[in-house]
Amino acid sequence: MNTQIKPPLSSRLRRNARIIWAIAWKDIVEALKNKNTLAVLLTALPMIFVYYYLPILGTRGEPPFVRVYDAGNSVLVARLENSEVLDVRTYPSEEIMKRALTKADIPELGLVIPQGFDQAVSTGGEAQLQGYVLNWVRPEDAQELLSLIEDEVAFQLGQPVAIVLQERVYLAPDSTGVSTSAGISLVYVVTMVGLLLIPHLILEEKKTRTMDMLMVSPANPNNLVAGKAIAGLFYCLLGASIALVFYRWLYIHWWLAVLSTVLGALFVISIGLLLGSLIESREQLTMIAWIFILPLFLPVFLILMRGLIPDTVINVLRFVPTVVYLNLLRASAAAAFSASTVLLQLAWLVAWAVGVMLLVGWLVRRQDRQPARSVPATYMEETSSFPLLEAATRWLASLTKRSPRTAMVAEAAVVESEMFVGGGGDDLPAGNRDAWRIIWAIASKDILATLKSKLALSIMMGTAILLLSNKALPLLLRSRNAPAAIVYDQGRSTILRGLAASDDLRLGITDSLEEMQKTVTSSPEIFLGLVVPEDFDQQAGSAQVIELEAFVVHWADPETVSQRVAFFEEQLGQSTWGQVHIQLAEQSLYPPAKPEGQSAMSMLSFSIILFTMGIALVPLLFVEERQAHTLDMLLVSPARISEVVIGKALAGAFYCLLAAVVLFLFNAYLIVHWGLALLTVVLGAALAVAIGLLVGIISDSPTTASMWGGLILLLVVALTVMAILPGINWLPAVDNLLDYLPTSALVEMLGYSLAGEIPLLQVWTNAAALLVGVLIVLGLVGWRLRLADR
Amino acid sequence: MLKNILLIICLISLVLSACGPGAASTAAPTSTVRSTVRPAILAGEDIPGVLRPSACPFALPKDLEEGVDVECGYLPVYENRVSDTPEKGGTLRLAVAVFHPPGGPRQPDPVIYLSGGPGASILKTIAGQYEFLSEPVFATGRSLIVFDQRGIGLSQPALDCQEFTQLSQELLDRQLEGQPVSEEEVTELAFETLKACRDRLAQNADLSAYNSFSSAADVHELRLALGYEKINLWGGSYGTRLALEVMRRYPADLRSVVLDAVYPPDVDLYVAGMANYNRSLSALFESCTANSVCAQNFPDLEVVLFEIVERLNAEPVTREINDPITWESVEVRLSGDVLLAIVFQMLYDSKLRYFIPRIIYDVSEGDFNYIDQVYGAMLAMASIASRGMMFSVQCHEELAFSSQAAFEAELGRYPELSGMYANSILGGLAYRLCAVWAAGIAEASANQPVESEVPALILSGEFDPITPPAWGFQAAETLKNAFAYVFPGIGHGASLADPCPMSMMIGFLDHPQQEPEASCIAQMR
Repeated sequence: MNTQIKPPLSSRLRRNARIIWAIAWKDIVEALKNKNTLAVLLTALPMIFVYYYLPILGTRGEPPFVRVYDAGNSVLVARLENSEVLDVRTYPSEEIMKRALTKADIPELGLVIPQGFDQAVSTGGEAQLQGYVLNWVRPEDAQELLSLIEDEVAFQLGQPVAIVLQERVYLAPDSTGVSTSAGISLVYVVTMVGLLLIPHLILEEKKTRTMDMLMVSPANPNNLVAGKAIAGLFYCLLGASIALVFYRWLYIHWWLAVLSTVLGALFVISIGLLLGSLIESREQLTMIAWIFILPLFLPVFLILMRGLIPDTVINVLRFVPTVVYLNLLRASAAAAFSASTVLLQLAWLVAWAVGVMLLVGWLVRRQDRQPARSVPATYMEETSSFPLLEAATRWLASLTKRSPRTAMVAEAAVVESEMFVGGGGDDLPAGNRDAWRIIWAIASKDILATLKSKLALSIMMGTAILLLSNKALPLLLRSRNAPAAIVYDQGRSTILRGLAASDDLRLGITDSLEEMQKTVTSSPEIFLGLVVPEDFDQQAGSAQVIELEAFVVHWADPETVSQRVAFFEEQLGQSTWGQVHIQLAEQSLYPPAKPEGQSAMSMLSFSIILFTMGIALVPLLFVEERQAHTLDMLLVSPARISEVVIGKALAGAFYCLLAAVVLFLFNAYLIVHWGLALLTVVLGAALAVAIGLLVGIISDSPTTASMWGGLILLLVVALTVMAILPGINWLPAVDNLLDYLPTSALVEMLGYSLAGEIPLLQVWTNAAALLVGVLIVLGLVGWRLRLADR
Repeated sequence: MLKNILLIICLISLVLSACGPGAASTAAPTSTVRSTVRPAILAGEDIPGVLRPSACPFALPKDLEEGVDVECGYLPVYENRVSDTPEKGGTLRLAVAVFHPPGGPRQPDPVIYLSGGPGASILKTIAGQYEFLSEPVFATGRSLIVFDQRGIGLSQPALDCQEFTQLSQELLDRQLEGQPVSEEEVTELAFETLKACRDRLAQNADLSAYNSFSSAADVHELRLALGYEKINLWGGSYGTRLALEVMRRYPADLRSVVLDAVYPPDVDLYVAGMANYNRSLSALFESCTANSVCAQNFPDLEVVLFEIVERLNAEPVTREINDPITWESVEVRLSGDVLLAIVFQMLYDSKLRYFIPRIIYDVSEGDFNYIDQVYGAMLAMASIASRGMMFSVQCHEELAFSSQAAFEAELGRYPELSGMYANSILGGLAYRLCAVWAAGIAEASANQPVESEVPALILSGEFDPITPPAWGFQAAETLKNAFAYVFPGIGHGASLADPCPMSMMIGFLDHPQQEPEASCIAQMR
């Protein structure tokens, strides 16, 4: 009889705890040395800064908001409305005013003008008003705001006034102000760190084969999961604490903020563990992580779009754990919340975290029962838990019947053999013809190899998603909305204003022809621009036909335009009890050179995609080859290092231009000056590739390449966004700096290619700026290569 | 259920406000000191009849510079002008703004605009109306003077009934809490609320002193205070009755008078109310039938309207609209009487009437989207009047001479409209309120036609649902130098509704003794 003596429970618990801690501690320490971990943290944290500083930048230089409730019809309200140094909004009750105040994401003042204020002032009484600020406003900020507004009120009234600060106004659990933006940045950090870092921890183990060692160690699968979870929790909380420190003035119920963050992190970690247990390579992670990130992070924004999204959808989204986490964070910043709701939300998060953890434990246990597999030598040979992915990978591999890495080695050999044999021994000193042959051989090899690289494919897939989302959103909006027209109303028509109330159509009314045309050209959908004559209303009800002139943007398709024209002729005819004829202007409208609306968005996606292809893809051509040691082979081949670099640059340029071609296909209807567009793309691609080369040269592994590439991409994209975004008041120095950046030049040139008229001088100035940018980066590349050569 | 009755109450509280765009612009006399150095709230003692300059107590129209384009102030006047010892009643302040045309006035006699209501503040809404109001006046090179009549808007005191707004909120809260309130209860609550308002106002104001007689004296005093020898008056809706009162009492002050949508003293607004609305509706139906586009799209309009009114009265529908008071989405009930009240209000505007057939058809087909928008806008309009002033005026000089029995007989004559009028401020509720308002009773002469030789231009709108064209001609009968016109297609208020009446008004102000060129009327529809 086989009997086992079980150790006592306390002893088993201690043992398990020791094992778990040992695994966790190892991961925590290892992750600190791991560039992947650092890259994940470094790319997640900037979002905190963005959410923190964007409202401040957006309102810089604008007059401060004062939200007023006037209890007694005071003349002060009108006086304040006339003020140029304050932006005044009035509210019908104190409660509504305070509610509006909670939507603020920068310090604002709520002002209550008490009943009898005017009378008190006129009889020589004390002029005193009640002021309110949100609980999170720092006392010194509140005081500064108060002084400014007191001065202006005194100026408007013609006599000194005291504003007495009342008790602070606290946020509500559903406030959409700073508690929401703070919550979103926390959710973002926790989600990104949890979903990307944890799988990395597991992958590292798999890569270094320590996973197998762990599997055969005394640690059981649960210990393994718990250990990883604790390590993940450490990093999630590290990221979250930075956000919490930033918003330390906001939270009232710290216990709830911390508890919900811990639970939110545990949930995300559980998903991260699940992800890590399912995938076998970093490349798979790159491809699959977004499948988890999107459904977890997108609802966080969608629930804020009440009115645009059906209530039913919002109610369903409320159950998404990340949304629950966000709502718990918002409740933490509120003065009071429903205990039962919060408890249910906490329980819901716990249930999700535990449920997914159990699933992970089960998966790991299942793996435990299977014979230990060797970690595949090449990623093309890895097995995947995703059959479709695996099939796709196999299909790609079948294109060459070889794995990418072996293919690379072979390609390098081809290059080498061509140099020595195919190229003819007579030309060994390598003339220009040979140099180009070498370059072409390297470039064509890289172009082919890229198609087989999962990482490269994932980058392309990401850019394709970006492109599609950029195109799909306007289409979605278009499908939901009624036909729209923008009217230049010369005679303040009452009939038009009456018609605007109809749900069957959308009518925007402008006071100038320029404004109407600008709106028409910057919209992603087809707006009919109508010029309504001054005597439009007077012509109503008559037997004569009312003639209107109409404009459309140059890319509008004639069929849709004629449908819109017929629709508005009917609507306007019904509204005037007469006949309306809309005559299309001979000249179509072109967007202004300064991009806005649809043009700006197209340019933004264009720039991002171009830079992503260059900065993220090109470095891979180096580092993967470096990892496969084929780079060394290339470097000892007759190919000169500059030729290798040019070859890789051409491969990168090929994909950049390929992306550009796709973009052009999607946006062809927007482009007016094709020559300029092509010049812009060539220069932009050159810049992107040059930066990519630099990153590739200074990186020694895909990890460092991802880290550098990610950071530089983030910076470049941020600069592009800064150059485009209206409504943000940068410091003058920043504005000037933006004007001289190659990214600004790229955006401007793209803008010109969509515009009706081209300012030639600016075109050449910008082209020169881009060229200089390219040359500078290429200079850096050359300098770095020379160093490497030595 | 609650709000629908309140809407009717609210709507009729504004029935005499002139429709259409309004208000004033640049300003006047003496001081060139910028408003910013003047106090907006005046302390110290008032001297009756002496204008006290101040910062403008309203949101300024765009691009106007205080002290250059517009000057403001308060005119203290005695409250009680009837009493033998006027000092007894103390003083009140009239808020005044004088707008000058660009480059300054070229004519010595300004135009004073008299707003309707009674109770509608012109100064509170001047920013939105200035461009329109100033156009015909500035075209003649004159300054435009705008003031809030006693008891109204920015004048002090203003006889506002905030209680009514609060009632609206309370009823809404009760509705949201699921406490049913019957229509009778709502009517009773509205009465009690207005009575409570009356009691509060009476503590600081002699309500019998707020009427057309006193306001006419205020106009006279305003002329004196501003130092003008002659003035021109431009009255709209109730403002015409005030202008007629000035013509009766202070003819020497006047160079000319424009009466737009005339409300003569010798008519009975309450008894004639349903007939006036019915006449306007008939005109609408006829015009639709006569127009091929309307007739084709909206046939049998009258039948469809009264069918849907009946159906909605039997089964009101609940709608969600944006409450203009709380700015939040609220549920309201749309009954047939409310639909009639909305149509009534839309008939005020000569251009909105084109949408009435569409609304009627939409509602009959179950599409409430458009009417929801109009409903919300109407509620917003209803919340901006000094209701206390309206009751003081109407109880004093209109309902004092009105027969409730005759009104009830009219309810029988117009059964389809009776639901809208029976308990409204234009009907039963007004008679009940006047019994407790203590506004006093005007002299019998206040109910007599005004005889005057002052040149007058009388403008009426074909579709006006409350002051019919016949009232314009009735007033003209005793005005020796009056020119009366009816403008096709126009609702309540013609002068700003179309270039034709506006051009005639400009011609008349330039040459009040001459009959204005009226050929443009033939071109109107």
